[in-house]
Amino acid sequence: MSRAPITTLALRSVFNRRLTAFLTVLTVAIAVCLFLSVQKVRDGARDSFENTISGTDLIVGARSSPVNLLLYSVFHIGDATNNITWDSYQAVANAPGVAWTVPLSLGDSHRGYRVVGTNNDLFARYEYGHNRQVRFEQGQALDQLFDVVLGASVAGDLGYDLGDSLVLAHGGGEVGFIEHDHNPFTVVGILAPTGTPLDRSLFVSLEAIEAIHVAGPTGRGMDMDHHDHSHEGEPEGDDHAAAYDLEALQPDQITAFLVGLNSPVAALRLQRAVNTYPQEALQAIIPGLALAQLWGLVSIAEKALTIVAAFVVASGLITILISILTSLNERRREMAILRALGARPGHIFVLLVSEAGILAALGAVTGLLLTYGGLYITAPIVEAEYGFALPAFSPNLNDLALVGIVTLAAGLLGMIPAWRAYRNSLADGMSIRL
Amino acid sequence: MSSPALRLCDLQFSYTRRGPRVIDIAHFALDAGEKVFLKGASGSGKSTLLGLISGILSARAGSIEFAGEDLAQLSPARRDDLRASHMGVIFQLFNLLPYLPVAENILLPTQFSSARHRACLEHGGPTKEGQRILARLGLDPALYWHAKTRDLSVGQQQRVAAARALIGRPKLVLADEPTSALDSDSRDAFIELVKDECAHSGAALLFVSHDASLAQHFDRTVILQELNRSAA
Ligand SMILES: Nc1ncnc2c1ncn2[C@@H]1O[C@H](COP(=O)(O)OP(=O)(O)OP(=O)(O)O)[C@@H](O)[C@H]1O
Ligand SMILES: [Mg+2]
Repeated sequence: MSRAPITTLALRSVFNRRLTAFLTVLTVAIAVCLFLSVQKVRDGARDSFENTISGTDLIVGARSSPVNLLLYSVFHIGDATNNITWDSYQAVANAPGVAWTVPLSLGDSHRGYRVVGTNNDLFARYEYGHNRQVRFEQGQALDQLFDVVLGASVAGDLGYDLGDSLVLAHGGGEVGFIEHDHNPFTVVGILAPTGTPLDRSLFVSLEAIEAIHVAGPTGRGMDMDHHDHSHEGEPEGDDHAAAYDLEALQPDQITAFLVGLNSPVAALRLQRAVNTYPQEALQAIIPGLALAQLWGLVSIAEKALTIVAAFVVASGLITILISILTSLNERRREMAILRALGARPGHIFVLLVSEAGILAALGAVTGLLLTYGGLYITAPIVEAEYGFALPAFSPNLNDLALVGIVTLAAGLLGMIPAWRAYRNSLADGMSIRL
Repeated sequence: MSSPALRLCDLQFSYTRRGPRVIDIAHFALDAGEKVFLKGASGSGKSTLLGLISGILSARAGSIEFAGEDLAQLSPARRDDLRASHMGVIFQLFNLLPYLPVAENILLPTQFSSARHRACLEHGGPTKEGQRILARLGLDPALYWHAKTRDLSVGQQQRVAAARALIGRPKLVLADEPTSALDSDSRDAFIELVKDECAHSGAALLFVSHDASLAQHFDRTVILQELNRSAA
């Protein structure tokens, strides 16, 4: 009886019912694809999330919660409760061990995108991913007072080019409530995509932020033109007479600043010093730690998704069970014929378990291929649109383990119809019940 | 002098331990190559008896001697082996696996049993032997060997089933009302063909039916109700 061609017969029998088999395989494939996709997107999101900022040792802002400071300073979500004074900024900037600082002044927007008041150090110092630096796709850094540099998505979505003029508003909403029509900015640079919130930001000088706000609550604005804000501060005054007094535009407050240290080991000591700064309620956070803390919050949703996907896989497996159980009655004759030919009840058992395994394995592998195919097609789009890299096309051990687990689980489930068929084949004898 | 192909002694069977006794036979024997007609009313236990003889069912008491062994003493697995190697079974209807073409249905016994595979090798191999039997049963292999099972008429399907039962020279062919779906002309033709082929390969034939008019085709007729003490 070792000659019994049971697995071949299982394959032929499955192929004979290929429409239901195909649908069953498809169900499992979609379930596995969903499960893997959730994992891939999760991995990609976490990677890009944790890579949003690197190379910065501390972020300093007004005292609130670390996650809050991280959210508004790096992700541009929410607003700072308080600003910090220029004097405090200078005090930390000049502390021993501090290599560089980048000031950030937030609170303005342009058509729903955040405006970041800063200086050109941002482009030189900001790092993301594995020490990747900000790069200019077109143009250059800030030079004139009313220059603006655009993140990649801002330029792309709003269709701005170098030399275009745009107007900035106070407040973070889609429609700024005070539009400073009198202060048109000129696009001088466009950044290459980074996959960070920088892509969705506009960058102007700190002085430009002040200039917008000189206008006051009436929104009268200051009659102005493009002015050099170089160190000499000499006004060009080409078209219009009125020039800004650059001294008056010296900011006395900023929202937060990034700190780079000569040696990262000093981070904890400086953090303590900042947190206990007597003149003002400051707070320093270490980006890596705060990011991990924030991901802990975000990952609850990710876990929920994973659980949902796992249930979808389970229901895919139950579909296999249903399809085999419903086929069992019409195949009772098939079993009786096989028994008459000399098949043992054990062969009938193996026949059904291997059928469940075959369907599940086919489904899981199809799901795997669907996932990789989907990643192959969508990864470049997602990277361009949302700025995070999906872990493309690398079948890792976990994926293969999933195929194994799904097949094994289906085999175990297949024992239910197999056991019934086994019992039937013993009880039926020669007579076949239909 | 020749030992019988099959001998039953004091055979008793019930489907459940405390259930009614379906089979209770004191003695029944089938000589090698003998063609016997077993007649019985519906529900008299014909199919049950064939299940016992083929070793699919286990006797509760008594002996079933076949090919020099007592099936009642063998393990179910050994009985399955013995059936695969030495018995051919034809059901009333739907004998064929619908997903295999005619050829593969006929050749299945040679895949389940090396003994039947070897028996074919002496006559030119399984394919040649299968085609020969199919031709003798009145189906032209040129037309039907590669045909799809579901394209065949009922009568043709029964002939393919007979070819499958006969391939590899089994010692015993068990036929459980294989002609009840055929009209009387093709029924008589079918029985003659199966009988001829059994004679050719030396197989004994136990042919079961409730239709008394078939008795004329056989060496001997046994009436199950007379044999079976529990069918009263
Ligand atoms: N699997 C089974 N479990 C329990 N009882 C059964 C089973 N198969 C048959 N029986 C009973 O055993 C008796 C004999 O049944 P069997 O099928 O052997 O009759 P039969 O002579 O083949 O009838 P028919 O001519 O209708 O095929 C019947 O009373 C039937 O109810
Ligand atoms: Mg019957």
